[in-house]
Amino acid sequence: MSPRHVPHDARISARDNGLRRVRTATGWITVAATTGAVVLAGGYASALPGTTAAKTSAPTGGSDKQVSTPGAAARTTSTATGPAASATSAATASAAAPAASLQPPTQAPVTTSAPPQTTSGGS
Amino acid sequence: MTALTVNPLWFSTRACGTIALILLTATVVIGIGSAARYAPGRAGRFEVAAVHRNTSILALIFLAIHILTALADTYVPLGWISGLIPFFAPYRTFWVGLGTLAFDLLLAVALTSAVRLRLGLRRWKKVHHLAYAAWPLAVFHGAGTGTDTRLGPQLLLYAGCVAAVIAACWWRLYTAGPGRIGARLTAAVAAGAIPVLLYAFLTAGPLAPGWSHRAGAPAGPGAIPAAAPANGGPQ
Repeated sequence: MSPRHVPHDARISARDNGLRRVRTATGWITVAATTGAVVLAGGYASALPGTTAAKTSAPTGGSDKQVSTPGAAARTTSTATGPAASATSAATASAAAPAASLQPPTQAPVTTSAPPQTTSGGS
Repeated sequence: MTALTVNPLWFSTRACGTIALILLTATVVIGIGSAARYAPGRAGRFEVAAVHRNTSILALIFLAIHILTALADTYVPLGWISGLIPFFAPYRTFWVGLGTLAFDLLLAVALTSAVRLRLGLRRWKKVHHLAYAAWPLAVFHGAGTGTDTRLGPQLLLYAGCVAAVIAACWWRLYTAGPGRIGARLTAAVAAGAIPVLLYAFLTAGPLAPGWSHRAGAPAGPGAIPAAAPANGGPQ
Protein backbone atom coordinates (compact mmCIF):
# COMPACT_ATOMS: atom_id res chain seq x y z
CA MET A 1 0.00 0.00 0.00
CA SER A 2 1.46 3.35 -0.96
CA PRO A 3 1.60 6.19 1.62
CA ARG A 4 -1.18 8.02 -0.21
CA HIS A 5 -3.61 5.21 0.51
CA VAL A 6 -2.72 4.87 4.18
CA PRO A 7 -5.62 6.02 6.37
CA HIS A 8 -5.30 9.44 7.97
CA ASP A 9 -5.16 8.10 11.54
CA ALA A 10 -2.47 5.60 10.63
CA ARG A 11 -0.35 8.35 9.13
CA ILE A 12 -0.73 10.48 12.23
CA SER A 13 0.16 7.51 14.38
CA ALA A 14 3.22 6.75 12.25
CA ARG A 15 4.32 10.36 12.50
CA ASP A 16 3.85 10.37 16.28
CA ASN A 17 5.87 7.20 16.53
CA GLY A 18 8.55 8.76 14.36
CA LEU A 19 8.72 11.89 16.48
CA ARG A 20 8.95 9.73 19.59
CA ARG A 21 11.85 7.82 18.06
CA VAL A 22 13.55 11.09 17.19
CA ARG A 23 13.15 12.34 20.76
CA THR A 24 14.52 9.08 22.15
CA ALA A 25 17.47 9.10 19.75
CA THR A 26 18.24 12.74 20.54
CA GLY A 27 18.08 12.00 24.26
CA TRP A 28 20.49 9.11 23.93
CA ILE A 29 22.87 11.15 21.76
CA THR A 30 22.81 13.96 24.34
CA VAL A 31 23.49 11.57 27.21
CA ALA A 32 26.27 9.85 25.24
CA ALA A 33 27.87 13.17 24.30
CA THR A 34 27.77 14.49 27.86
CA THR A 35 29.12 11.25 29.29
CA GLY A 36 31.75 11.18 26.56
CA ALA A 37 32.84 14.71 27.42
CA VAL A 38 33.28 13.82 31.09
CA VAL A 39 35.13 10.60 30.26
CA LEU A 40 37.36 12.37 27.74
CA ALA A 41 38.17 15.15 30.19
CA GLY A 42 39.19 12.56 32.75
CA GLY A 43 41.16 10.64 30.15
CA TYR A 44 43.04 13.73 29.01
CA ALA A 45 43.78 14.66 32.62
CA SER A 46 45.38 11.30 33.30
CA ALA A 47 46.98 10.56 29.94
CA LEU A 48 48.62 13.81 28.93
CA PRO A 49 52.25 14.55 29.74
CA GLY A 50 52.85 16.69 32.77
CA THR A 51 50.05 15.20 34.78
CA THR A 52 52.29 14.03 37.60
CA ALA A 53 51.41 16.05 40.63
CA ALA A 54 54.34 18.10 41.90
CA LYS A 55 53.74 20.26 44.89
CA THR A 56 54.94 23.83 44.60
CA SER A 57 54.29 26.72 46.87
CA ALA A 58 52.37 29.59 45.37
CA PRO A 59 54.00 32.86 46.35
CA THR A 60 50.86 34.88 45.80
CA GLY A 61 48.58 33.48 48.41
CA GLY A 62 50.84 31.11 50.24
CA SER A 63 48.63 28.18 49.36
CA ASP A 64 50.01 25.09 47.72
CA LYS A 65 49.09 24.23 44.16
CA GLN A 66 49.48 21.00 42.29
CA VAL A 67 51.22 21.23 38.95
CA SER A 68 49.18 18.78 37.03
CA THR A 69 48.21 20.12 33.63
CA PRO A 70 50.37 21.09 30.71
CA GLY A 71 49.00 24.58 31.06
CA ALA A 72 49.66 24.71 34.74
CA ALA A 73 53.09 23.17 34.27
CA ALA A 74 53.96 25.92 31.84
CA ARG A 75 52.79 28.54 34.29
CA THR A 76 54.60 27.40 37.39
CA THR A 77 58.19 26.65 38.18
CA SER A 78 59.80 23.27 38.01
CA THR A 79 61.94 21.80 40.75
CA ALA A 80 65.70 21.34 40.29
CA THR A 81 68.70 20.45 42.38
CA GLY A 82 72.25 21.70 42.66
CA PRO A 83 73.73 25.20 42.36
CA ALA A 84 71.95 25.84 39.14
CA ALA A 85 68.72 25.21 40.95
CA SER A 86 69.19 28.18 43.23
CA ALA A 87 69.79 30.44 40.27
CA THR A 88 66.79 28.93 38.55
CA SER A 89 64.71 29.29 41.66
CA ALA A 90 65.63 32.95 41.99
CA ALA A 91 64.77 33.62 38.39
CA THR A 92 61.55 31.67 38.45
CA ALA A 93 60.48 33.05 41.79
CA SER A 94 60.51 36.51 40.32
CA ALA A 95 58.64 35.21 37.32
CA ALA A 96 55.95 33.75 39.55
CA ALA A 97 55.68 36.86 41.68
CA PRO A 98 52.42 38.79 41.91
CA ALA A 99 51.26 40.75 38.91
CA ALA A 100 52.27 44.10 40.32
CA SER A 101 55.91 43.10 40.72
CA LEU A 102 56.37 41.53 37.28
CA GLN A 103 59.33 43.08 35.55
CA PRO A 104 61.10 42.28 32.30
CA PRO A 105 64.52 40.64 32.78
CA THR A 106 67.33 43.12 33.08
CA GLN A 107 69.89 40.91 31.35
CA ALA A 108 70.08 37.73 29.36
CA PRO A 109 70.98 34.49 31.15
CA VAL A 110 74.73 33.91 31.45
CA THR A 111 76.72 30.72 31.78
CA THR A 112 77.91 29.76 35.24
CA SER A 113 81.35 28.53 36.26
CA ALA A 114 79.95 26.30 39.01
CA PRO A 115 80.47 22.59 38.35
CA PRO A 116 77.40 20.50 37.71
CA GLN A 117 76.22 18.69 40.79
CA THR A 118 73.70 15.91 41.12
CA THR A 119 72.03 14.95 44.34
CA SER A 120 71.11 11.31 44.32
CA GLY A 121 68.22 9.89 46.27
CA GLY A 122 70.16 6.69 47.06
CA SER A 123 71.99 6.20 50.39
CA MET B 1 43.67 16.80 43.97
CA THR B 2 43.40 15.50 40.43
CA ALA B 3 44.49 17.34 37.32
CA LEU B 4 40.87 17.72 36.29
CA THR B 5 39.92 19.68 39.36
CA VAL B 6 43.03 21.87 39.25
CA ASN B 7 42.24 23.24 35.81
CA PRO B 8 38.77 22.19 34.69
CA LEU B 9 38.60 24.80 31.91
CA TRP B 10 41.66 23.38 30.16
CA PHE B 11 40.25 19.89 30.05
CA SER B 12 36.68 21.04 29.34
CA THR B 13 37.97 22.83 26.25
CA ARG B 14 39.67 19.68 25.01
CA ALA B 15 36.82 17.31 25.80
CA CYS B 16 34.07 19.54 24.41
CA GLY B 17 36.12 20.20 21.27
CA THR B 18 36.53 16.49 20.66
CA ILE B 19 32.84 15.78 21.31
CA ALA B 20 31.89 18.68 19.02
CA LEU B 21 34.05 17.14 16.27
CA ILE B 22 32.40 13.74 16.76
CA LEU B 23 28.93 15.31 16.68
CA LEU B 24 29.86 17.36 13.62
CA THR B 25 31.07 14.18 11.94
CA ALA B 26 27.78 12.46 12.82
CA THR B 27 25.87 15.47 11.50
CA VAL B 28 27.76 15.39 8.21
CA VAL B 29 27.29 11.63 7.82
CA ILE B 30 23.56 11.80 8.63
CA GLY B 31 23.26 14.82 6.35
CA ILE B 32 24.83 12.90 3.48
CA GLY B 33 22.42 10.05 4.15
CA SER B 34 19.51 12.45 4.33
CA ALA B 35 20.50 14.05 1.03
CA ALA B 36 20.52 10.59 -0.53
CA ARG B 37 17.00 10.01 0.87
CA TYR B 38 18.25 7.19 3.03
CA ALA B 39 16.07 5.98 5.90
CA PRO B 40 17.02 2.92 7.96
CA GLY B 41 14.36 0.24 8.58
CA ARG B 42 10.89 1.57 9.26
CA ALA B 43 12.13 5.08 10.04
CA GLY B 44 10.75 7.87 7.91
CA ARG B 45 12.94 10.28 6.02
CA PHE B 46 11.70 13.12 8.22
CA GLU B 47 13.14 11.25 11.19
CA VAL B 48 16.59 11.17 9.61
CA ALA B 49 16.30 14.89 8.87
CA ALA B 50 15.16 15.60 12.44
CA VAL B 51 18.05 13.64 13.96
CA HIS B 52 20.42 15.47 11.59
CA ARG B 53 19.06 18.83 12.80
CA ASN B 54 19.14 17.86 16.50
CA THR B 55 22.68 16.48 16.23
CA SER B 56 23.86 19.68 14.57
CA ILE B 57 22.30 21.78 17.33
CA LEU B 58 24.01 19.60 19.93
CA ALA B 59 27.31 19.98 18.06
CA LEU B 60 26.89 23.75 18.14
CA ILE B 61 26.18 23.65 21.89
CA PHE B 62 29.37 21.68 22.56
CA LEU B 63 31.23 23.99 20.18
CA ALA B 64 29.99 26.98 22.15
CA ILE B 65 31.19 25.40 25.42
CA HIS B 66 34.53 24.60 23.72
CA ILE B 67 34.98 28.22 22.65
CA LEU B 68 33.75 29.78 25.88
CA THR B 69 35.98 27.63 28.07
CA ALA B 70 38.95 28.32 25.78
CA LEU B 71 38.34 32.05 26.06
CA ALA B 72 37.79 31.86 29.81
CA ASP B 73 40.98 29.85 30.41
CA THR B 74 43.63 32.41 31.28
CA TYR B 75 46.65 30.35 30.18
CA VAL B 76 46.44 31.88 26.71
CA PRO B 77 44.84 35.31 26.28
CA LEU B 78 42.91 34.38 23.14
CA GLY B 79 40.57 37.35 23.35
CA TRP B 80 36.92 37.40 22.41
CA ILE B 81 37.65 38.72 18.93
CA SER B 82 39.65 35.61 18.02
CA GLY B 83 36.56 33.55 18.79
CA LEU B 84 34.79 35.14 15.84
CA ILE B 85 37.46 36.49 13.49
CA PRO B 86 39.93 33.90 12.18
CA PHE B 87 43.72 34.17 12.53
CA PHE B 88 43.69 36.73 15.37
CA ALA B 89 44.65 34.39 18.20
CA PRO B 90 48.12 34.88 19.70
CA TYR B 91 48.35 31.13 20.42
CA ARG B 92 48.93 28.81 17.41
CA THR B 93 47.44 31.49 15.21
CA PHE B 94 46.92 29.46 12.06
CA TRP B 95 45.54 26.35 13.74
CA VAL B 96 43.22 28.21 16.09
CA GLY B 97 42.20 30.31 13.07
CA LEU B 98 41.08 27.18 11.23
CA GLY B 99 38.78 26.40 14.13
CA THR B 100 37.39 29.93 14.13
CA LEU B 101 36.82 29.69 10.39
CA ALA B 102 35.00 26.38 10.81
CA PHE B 103 32.87 27.91 13.56
CA ASP B 104 31.98 30.89 11.35
CA LEU B 105 30.97 28.58 8.50
CA LEU B 106 28.83 26.47 10.83
CA LEU B 107 27.27 29.61 12.25
CA ALA B 108 26.36 30.70 8.73
CA VAL B 109 24.87 27.26 8.04
CA ALA B 110 22.88 27.34 11.29
CA LEU B 111 21.58 30.88 10.80
CA THR B 112 20.54 30.30 7.21
CA SER B 113 18.86 27.05 8.23
CA ALA B 114 16.83 28.99 10.78
CA VAL B 115 15.49 31.27 8.02
CA ARG B 116 15.41 28.62 5.32
CA LEU B 117 11.81 29.28 4.27
CA ARG B 118 12.48 32.98 3.76
CA LEU B 119 15.82 32.41 2.06
CA GLY B 120 14.62 29.97 -0.54
CA LEU B 121 15.72 26.38 -0.97
CA ARG B 122 18.36 27.01 -3.63
CA ARG B 123 20.18 29.75 -1.72
CA TRP B 124 19.92 27.84 1.53
CA LYS B 125 21.40 24.75 -0.09
CA LYS B 126 24.37 26.70 -1.43
CA VAL B 127 25.16 28.00 2.04
CA HIS B 128 24.45 24.60 3.56
CA HIS B 129 27.23 23.06 1.50
CA LEU B 130 29.66 25.15 3.57
CA ALA B 131 29.29 22.44 6.22
CA TYR B 132 31.38 20.22 3.95
CA ALA B 133 34.15 22.82 4.15
CA ALA B 134 33.75 23.31 7.89
CA TRP B 135 34.31 19.65 8.70
CA PRO B 136 37.89 19.27 7.34
CA LEU B 137 38.77 22.65 8.84
CA ALA B 138 37.59 21.35 12.21
CA VAL B 139 39.63 18.15 11.80
CA PHE B 140 42.82 20.03 10.94
CA HIS B 141 42.14 22.52 13.74
CA GLY B 142 41.88 19.68 16.23
CA ALA B 143 44.97 17.91 14.93
CA GLY B 144 47.05 21.08 14.71
CA THR B 145 46.00 22.83 17.91
CA GLY B 146 45.38 20.00 20.32
CA THR B 147 48.40 18.86 22.27
CA ASP B 148 46.52 15.59 22.69
CA THR B 149 47.02 14.67 19.02
CA ARG B 150 49.96 12.43 19.99
CA LEU B 151 47.71 10.21 22.08
CA GLY B 152 46.90 6.91 20.38
CA PRO B 153 43.17 6.94 21.19
CA GLN B 154 42.91 10.50 19.91
CA LEU B 155 44.52 9.49 16.62
CA LEU B 156 42.11 6.57 16.38
CA LEU B 157 39.24 8.96 16.98
CA TYR B 158 40.41 11.26 14.17
CA ALA B 159 40.82 8.24 11.92
CA GLY B 160 37.30 7.09 12.76
CA CYS B 161 35.82 10.50 12.00
CA VAL B 162 37.66 10.72 8.68
CA ALA B 163 36.74 7.15 7.73
CA ALA B 164 33.06 7.75 8.52
CA VAL B 165 32.79 10.86 6.37
CA ILE B 166 34.86 9.42 3.51
CA ALA B 167 32.75 6.24 3.51
CA ALA B 168 29.55 8.29 3.48
CA CYS B 169 30.89 10.42 0.61
CA TRP B 170 31.86 7.38 -1.46
CA TRP B 171 28.53 5.71 -0.73
CA ARG B 172 26.72 8.88 -1.82
CA LEU B 173 28.78 9.05 -5.00
CA TYR B 174 28.10 5.36 -5.68
CA THR B 175 24.34 5.67 -5.23
CA ALA B 176 23.93 9.06 -6.90
CA GLY B 177 23.57 7.71 -10.40
CA PRO B 178 24.71 9.41 -13.58
CA GLY B 179 24.96 13.15 -14.11
CA ARG B 180 26.74 16.08 -12.48
CA ILE B 181 30.11 14.62 -13.38
CA GLY B 182 32.02 17.75 -12.37
CA ALA B 183 30.58 17.90 -8.87
CA ARG B 184 31.03 14.17 -8.35
CA LEU B 185 34.61 14.28 -9.55
CA THR B 186 35.38 17.17 -7.21
CA ALA B 187 33.78 15.32 -4.30
CA ALA B 188 35.70 12.14 -5.16
CA VAL B 189 39.03 13.98 -5.35
CA ALA B 190 38.34 15.82 -2.07
CA ALA B 191 37.27 12.60 -0.36
CA GLY B 192 40.47 10.92 -1.49
CA ALA B 193 42.75 13.86 -0.75
CA ILE B 194 41.65 14.65 2.81
CA PRO B 195 42.94 11.44 4.46
CA VAL B 196 46.19 11.63 2.48
CA LEU B 197 46.70 15.27 3.45
CA LEU B 198 45.84 14.55 7.07
CA TYR B 199 48.28 11.65 7.23
CA ALA B 200 51.06 13.72 5.66
CA PHE B 201 50.30 16.60 7.98
CA LEU B 202 50.26 14.44 11.10
CA THR B 203 53.57 12.76 10.30
CA ALA B 204 55.31 16.01 9.41
CA GLY B 205 53.57 18.14 12.02
CA PRO B 206 52.05 17.13 15.36
CA LEU B 207 53.72 13.71 15.48
CA ALA B 208 57.16 15.12 14.63
CA PRO B 209 59.40 16.64 17.32
CA GLY B 210 59.15 20.37 18.00
CA TRP B 211 55.60 20.78 16.76
CA SER B 212 54.55 22.93 19.71
CA HIS B 213 57.20 25.52 18.84
CA ARG B 214 56.52 25.37 15.09
CA ALA B 215 52.76 25.67 15.62
CA GLY B 216 53.21 28.97 17.39
CA ALA B 217 52.68 27.93 20.99
CA PRO B 218 54.31 30.10 23.66
CA ALA B 219 57.57 28.73 25.03
CA GLY B 220 56.71 29.46 28.63
CA PRO B 221 55.22 31.95 31.02
CA GLY B 222 57.55 34.67 29.91
CA ALA B 223 56.45 34.28 26.30
CA ILE B 224 53.04 35.71 27.02
CA PRO B 225 53.46 38.52 29.54
CA ALA B 226 49.74 39.27 29.54
CA ALA B 227 48.93 35.75 30.64
CA ALA B 228 51.35 35.55 33.51
CA PRO B 229 49.56 37.77 36.03
CA ALA B 230 46.23 36.06 35.56
CA ASN B 231 47.79 32.65 35.89
CA GLY B 232 49.70 33.35 39.01
CA GLY B 233 46.84 32.60 41.32
CA PRO B 234 44.93 29.41 41.71
CA GLN B 235 41.98 28.88 39.43
